[in-house]
Amino acid sequence: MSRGETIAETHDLEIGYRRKRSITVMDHLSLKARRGELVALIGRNGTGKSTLLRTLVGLQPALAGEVILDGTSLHETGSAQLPRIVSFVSTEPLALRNIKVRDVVALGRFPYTNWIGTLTEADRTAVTAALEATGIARLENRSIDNISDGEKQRTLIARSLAQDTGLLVMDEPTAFLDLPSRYGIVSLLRRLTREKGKCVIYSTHDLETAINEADRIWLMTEEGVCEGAPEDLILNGSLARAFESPLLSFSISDGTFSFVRDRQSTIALEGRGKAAKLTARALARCGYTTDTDAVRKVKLLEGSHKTEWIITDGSREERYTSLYDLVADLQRTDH
Amino acid sequence: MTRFILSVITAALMFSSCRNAGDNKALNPGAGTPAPGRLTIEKEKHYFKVTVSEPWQNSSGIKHVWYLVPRDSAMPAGISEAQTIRIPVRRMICMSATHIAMMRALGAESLIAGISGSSLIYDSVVREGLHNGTIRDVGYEGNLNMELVVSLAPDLLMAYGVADPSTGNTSRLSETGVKVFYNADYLEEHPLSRCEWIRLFGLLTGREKMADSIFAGVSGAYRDLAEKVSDAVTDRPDVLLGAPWEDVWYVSPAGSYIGRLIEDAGGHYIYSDMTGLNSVPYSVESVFRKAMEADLWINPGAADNLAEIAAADPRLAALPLFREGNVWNNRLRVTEAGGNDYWESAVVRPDLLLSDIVSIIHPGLMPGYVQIYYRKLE
Amino acid sequence: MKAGSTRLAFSLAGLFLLMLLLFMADMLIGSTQMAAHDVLRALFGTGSAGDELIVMQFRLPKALTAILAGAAMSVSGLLMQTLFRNPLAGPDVMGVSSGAGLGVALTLLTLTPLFTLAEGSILSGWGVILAAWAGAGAVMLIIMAVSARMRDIMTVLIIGMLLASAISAVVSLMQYFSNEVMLRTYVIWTMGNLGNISYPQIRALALATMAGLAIAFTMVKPLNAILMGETFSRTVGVRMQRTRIVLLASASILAGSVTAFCGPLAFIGVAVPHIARLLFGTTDHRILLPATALAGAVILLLSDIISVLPGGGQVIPVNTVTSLIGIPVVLWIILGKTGLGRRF
Repeated sequence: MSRGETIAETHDLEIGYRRKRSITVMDHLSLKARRGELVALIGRNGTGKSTLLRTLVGLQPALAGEVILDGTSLHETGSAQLPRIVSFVSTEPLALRNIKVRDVVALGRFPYTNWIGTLTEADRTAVTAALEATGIARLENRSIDNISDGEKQRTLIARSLAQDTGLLVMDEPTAFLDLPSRYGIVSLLRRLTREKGKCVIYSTHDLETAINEADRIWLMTEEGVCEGAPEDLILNGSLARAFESPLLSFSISDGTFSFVRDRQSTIALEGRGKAAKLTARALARCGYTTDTDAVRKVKLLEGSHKTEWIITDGSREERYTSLYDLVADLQRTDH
Repeated sequence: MTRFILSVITAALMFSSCRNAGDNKALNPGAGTPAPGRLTIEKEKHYFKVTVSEPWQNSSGIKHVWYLVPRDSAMPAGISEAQTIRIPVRRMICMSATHIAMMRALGAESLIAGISGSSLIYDSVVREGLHNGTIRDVGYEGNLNMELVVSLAPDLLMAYGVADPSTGNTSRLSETGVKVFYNADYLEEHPLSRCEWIRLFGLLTGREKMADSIFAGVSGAYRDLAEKVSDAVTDRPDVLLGAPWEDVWYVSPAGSYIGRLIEDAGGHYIYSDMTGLNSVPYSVESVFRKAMEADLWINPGAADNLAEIAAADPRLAALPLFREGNVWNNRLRVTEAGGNDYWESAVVRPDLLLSDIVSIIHPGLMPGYVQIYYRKLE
Repeated sequence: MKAGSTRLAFSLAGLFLLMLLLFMADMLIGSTQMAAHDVLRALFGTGSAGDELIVMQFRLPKALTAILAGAAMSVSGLLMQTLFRNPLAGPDVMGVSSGAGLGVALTLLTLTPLFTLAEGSILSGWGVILAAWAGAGAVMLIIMAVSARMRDIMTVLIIGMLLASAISAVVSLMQYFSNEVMLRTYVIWTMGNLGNISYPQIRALALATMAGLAIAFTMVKPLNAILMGETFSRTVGVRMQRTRIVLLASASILAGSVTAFCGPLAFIGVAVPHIARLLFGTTDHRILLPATALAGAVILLLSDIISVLPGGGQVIPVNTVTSLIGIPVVLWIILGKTGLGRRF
């Protein structure tokens, strides 16, 4: 039960579909996840992230290999035992209306309640704790069709929490959410692992937060899944390889992706600090690389309240009060 | 069991939609005297003009006119071929068992080429004909085997209209050259009016005199008996008619065929004040109430014994008339398959029918009489 | 929270009382005139023989049947609506009524009835009933077999609807080949009836209803979870395959039995669960199940009372009344300002 203990692992797992003939999505998967870890499953569309997660929690049968959760193989785990070990939040939107937030979260106690579903004191405490941890306690009596998408997501996560499992698996919990909500969810997941010792495995398209917050990344490509700390995958280039394209390039120093630009011209940049960095970005967007030997030069004049820019090519000088004007002018004169 | 149910509904259907043209009263002016029927036969020189009024249900104002012209005569001027039937007819298709009975009464069964609903035919001669293929079953109105009809090359198809012919198949036959006669005998509410249609058959088959004499004899005997009864009776027992199905009792109006027979036989139908046109759906509870006071039960659907009635609806077993066994049904002459002579020869001999019913209601008036169509249920 | 549950308990008790009231009213208001004190005397055995006959053999069985049939059909509809997560699901949709109709049609519309039982035997009054049960049961088995093979519950729903249509087509064919007499018999059966049910039959119906309701009640926990979706239910610990089969079986026992004894009762299965949801404002099946059963009994008792209102012994078929009540409810579900499924 201690932090750091392996809670989920797969051995030579083959995932896919069984229709008339088996369709393998991926095989020979051997992955691990530990208690107290935040694991982000990333990969391009169509690589099979959902299939992997659903196979991991037993919603889909594995074609071959083994899934071991909390020390027991999935085959051998009874249907009554499984929901106490792992909880799952799917991508399906919540269809139901006219049910209270608190009642949805209370459904997480399903594996523990009696045949008619009566909640004991302990159950009620778990529900309240889940509502508070996800920050939606004030919404508990509201109907779920009456809250925002972010709050709906938190409700489902709260339900998952109330289920009191060591492992929480979530399929794209931040899809369709706005930026602050996305960060909010991920930081919530982060807290759950840190403060409650849960292991959270979640799939996402939001690379930035994943790289910044996850303890472990499962990177899914057409060849298979590589795992490691985010920095490991950056260092060994797998991340870049997975996502780079003629249009996208990965900057190791920044840890971010950016568009590949046609660099047409050079310009010199004089200045330091944040403003200089941002000026370089704006220039890069228009296809300018900085070169100290360039004829034209952009000079930063940082005042106490505002910044100004001067473009000089030796003979003339132009002054600008905003980067927008500067860049617009540059582009105009270049064509 | 099923026959019981089926015949309940047959009875309801047969007795429904009785409308006496121009006469709304349930009682007749004189015992046994019918109001004018739907059949009118007028003799013109060498041919006959036959008019059928209100040939199907709810068809007031509609008349079909046919001209029956002997084969060897010339066509009268101004009359279309389509409205003419050359007599005597050589081959006929009869859609109703009643028509068969009339043909048989006239000894004209050899002219029958086709019938409808073979399993429900009682007459043994016709069944024999069906068996050896000289008579064919052309199907019901709804799914008439038109090709078979045409191939039988009948001079006439004697049909009975339930609704406007345009809703059925028989209207299409006229287009193929087969003459379709809408016989309204089943809509006649008085037994003698119904019997009178034998005169039509007499004309069609060239046995006019035989038909007339049969009819004269029958109506004479009927009237005599009816008068005798009305003179003799002082007290009219209450009679229950029909049977329920699934908690609905379709109650026949007083002016129905059997209603008049009861009346003429010296009985009192418990719904004698029902002067409507069609059977009315009543709850079993309400009919039961009235039936508790009744003395006799006649025509309880297709039941052959008391146990069948009790099985269909156990509550009826509590009726006093049931417990005393005063239940009579018209199923003395029936076939295995469900054919009942009550719908056949009894139509031609309403005098015998009346005798049966008189002997049920007032046995004292007919000592030693043995019923022909009716049987007491055990 | 506490206040809420006491209020719900009171509401349920109130509905129960309403049912008892209508039960009495149904016995006092029949198709023939009978003074209230005569009815009461008959019930307690101190009335005239005739009155006692009427009340004990006609009115009491009808009222009892209304309660049983109303509760059974409504709960059957509730189970189907939750299982298929569709507010318009019901036993008629899934072909239970059609299956029963097929059995009855085979008995009544074929010239050589396939189900003729020995005349006068104890079974002969049960011919149509057994045929209807067999038909409904056969449809239920087919649906369960389909459900076992299909993942997606929506597919099962659609197949159920197609099955219902197919059976109707077969029955139409049989009707085409019958004469007016048989047709009328069959048509009258389809109008539904609450009378004409003997005490042994009521016992059988009561048994089936109790069994069905009991099974349904053991499933309230999974029912609450299923509303949130199949994936949700499975991950919370609901055993979907087993749950589906139990729910379908329970719904079929309830609806099949009622249809066997009373003919196909229209709209009760679809409309009453929504009435219950509206009255109690909850989707919790611990409340909704008893509420639906009671509401169903109330509605059908009411329908029975309305059906004798024309007076003079004439009655309106019960299906007409339930349709008149049910159709506005269904329309309201679809068109109501809160929209389809909102109340769901």
